[in-house]
Amino acid sequence: MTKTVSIDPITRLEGHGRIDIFLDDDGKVENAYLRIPELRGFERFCVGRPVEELPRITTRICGVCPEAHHMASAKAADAVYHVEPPPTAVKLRRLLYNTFYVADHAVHFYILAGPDFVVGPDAPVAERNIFGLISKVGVEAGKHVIKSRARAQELVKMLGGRAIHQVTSLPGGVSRGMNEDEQGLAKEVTADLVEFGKFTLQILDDLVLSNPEYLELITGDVYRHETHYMGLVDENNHPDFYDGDVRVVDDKGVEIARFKPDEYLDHVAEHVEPWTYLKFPYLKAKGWKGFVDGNDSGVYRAAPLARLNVADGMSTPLAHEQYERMIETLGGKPVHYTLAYHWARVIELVNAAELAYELARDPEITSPEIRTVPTETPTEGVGVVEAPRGILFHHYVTDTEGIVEKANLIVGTTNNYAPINMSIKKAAKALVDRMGGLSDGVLNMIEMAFRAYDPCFGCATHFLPGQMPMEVTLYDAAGEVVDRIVRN
Amino acid sequence: MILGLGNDILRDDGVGLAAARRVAELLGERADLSEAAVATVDLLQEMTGYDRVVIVDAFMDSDLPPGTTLRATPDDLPDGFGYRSFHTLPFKEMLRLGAEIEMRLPDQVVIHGMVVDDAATFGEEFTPPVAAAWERWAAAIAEEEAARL
Repeated sequence: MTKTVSIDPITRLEGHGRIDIFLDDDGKVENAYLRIPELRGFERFCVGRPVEELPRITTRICGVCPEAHHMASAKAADAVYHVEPPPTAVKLRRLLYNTFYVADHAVHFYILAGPDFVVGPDAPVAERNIFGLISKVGVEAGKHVIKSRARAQELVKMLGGRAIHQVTSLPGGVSRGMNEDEQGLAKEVTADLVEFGKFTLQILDDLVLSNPEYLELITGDVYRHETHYMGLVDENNHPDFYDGDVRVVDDKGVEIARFKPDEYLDHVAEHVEPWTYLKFPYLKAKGWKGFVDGNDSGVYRAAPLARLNVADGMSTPLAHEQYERMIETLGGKPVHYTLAYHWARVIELVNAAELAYELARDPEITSPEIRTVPTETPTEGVGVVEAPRGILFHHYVTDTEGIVEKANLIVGTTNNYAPINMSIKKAAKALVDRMGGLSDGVLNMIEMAFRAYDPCFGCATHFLPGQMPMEVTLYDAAGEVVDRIVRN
Repeated sequence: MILGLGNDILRDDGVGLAAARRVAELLGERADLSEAAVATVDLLQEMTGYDRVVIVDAFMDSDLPPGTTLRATPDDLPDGFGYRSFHTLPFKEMLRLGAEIEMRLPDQVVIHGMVVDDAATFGEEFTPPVAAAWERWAAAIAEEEAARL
């Protein structure tokens, strides 16, 4: 008989994900899965609408990263109309996007991941939260974090027309430019964001990297997988959040693919499992070999650590310095330590802040040339950006009037769905077996295995669902439920 | 401030937005309207400076029939309650965070919820029980608020 222990809900997880840990007859971990809910019918919702509406509609897929959908969708719509936005439009989009990155990564580092490291992974749950973090770093630091995010959001609102559900990017460019007064504000905000990046590096240094126990945790085997990595790079092989070629390196760091976004179907396929609606993307050339790492596996990882692993450096000075430091400290590339995602995320935060500051000072950013009006017959197009949680593909096919006939999306976290499951299983095997069962500390350390990826599976996340019970379900060998215990 | 939460292309998930818009319309210039897709920490900033904030949202509860309305204040909520999002905090924790970092938060927060049926399918139409109940709900919230103004 197989016993299933379900942890539901996952603390602070988007949507209603649930971890099931399957124990064998001896009480040892046999398997572990992250199950997530399904949102139905988005493609059908898009069909029949003018493609230029999609950059405004797709922002509503997710309340956490609407900016990523807005950009990927606008780029796909550019491609559908075979139109190149003018340089100023691209710069305005990039300014918005990099500013958003700072705000998004800040929330993850300070509110979600920070407590694990700054307060401690085995601290009591009552202290392992933002308040525990504030008690360590001080109220002033807490104010700095909230204020910096609010300022970033203020700039996103100015550039995107709205704080959420941005509306300004459309096929061929953007609908609103920036005047000199607004540029002044953008310079001021982004200069502050660079300082915020330095402040965050200092916090990381003082409270995490200077603690040998944490470095040992990061470089331990429990949180390590030798996978391939995928990310967007520019012509210098630096990570580019907005555009570029898709580069894939293998578990040894050797480039095994480099392709244009519209060729993604030649390189990425999706595996289906019966226990979840979400698909598992994998490298077509390697094939699906199951939830395993290693050179023969098709499993790749995406998002911050992957982006740094596929890169040859960073595009801005401070971020590059920190990149080299991370690679050297962790023993060279590719870095396979899952918890190093947090470090990579902070480096990206700094990179995004520096890029935003550079763009805000660019004299061309106030040019009125912000749109190339589409004149070609619309057909089909793919738009790709690096969402904070992984590479995001939007693919649309339209009729000759620009009415959507087909829409396909591969969203950020989906790229990491297979490795997330592998990480959960590995952590569960190591910790549950060693500790002889589940405890609050063990559960948290299992959660840390997926929290590093900053997963975001849900879109309807603002619900007031009340307190979900802890559910323990027993299955027999045939998969039939034989008992269910609910602990409120 | 009337604060509507939801996603208006995810069927019943949009009911908080629709009702908040209606409440704001009925109250006219006496209240500001704000909308958000998720209750992230950014709501703290949004609420700063207001004396009273009325949150209007969809509510998931398998024990109550869709269309049922609920009303609570943060004090009524158990610790850890609600807004379960990877990018935010439970609601009471969020308010406590705001207080800890000395933000000027509203003295009064009221949360209105409507139990919904389907918020996992993309679409712009409410399910029948929600469609039948939301306008009356919005009118009742507006009446309560109008009596205070």
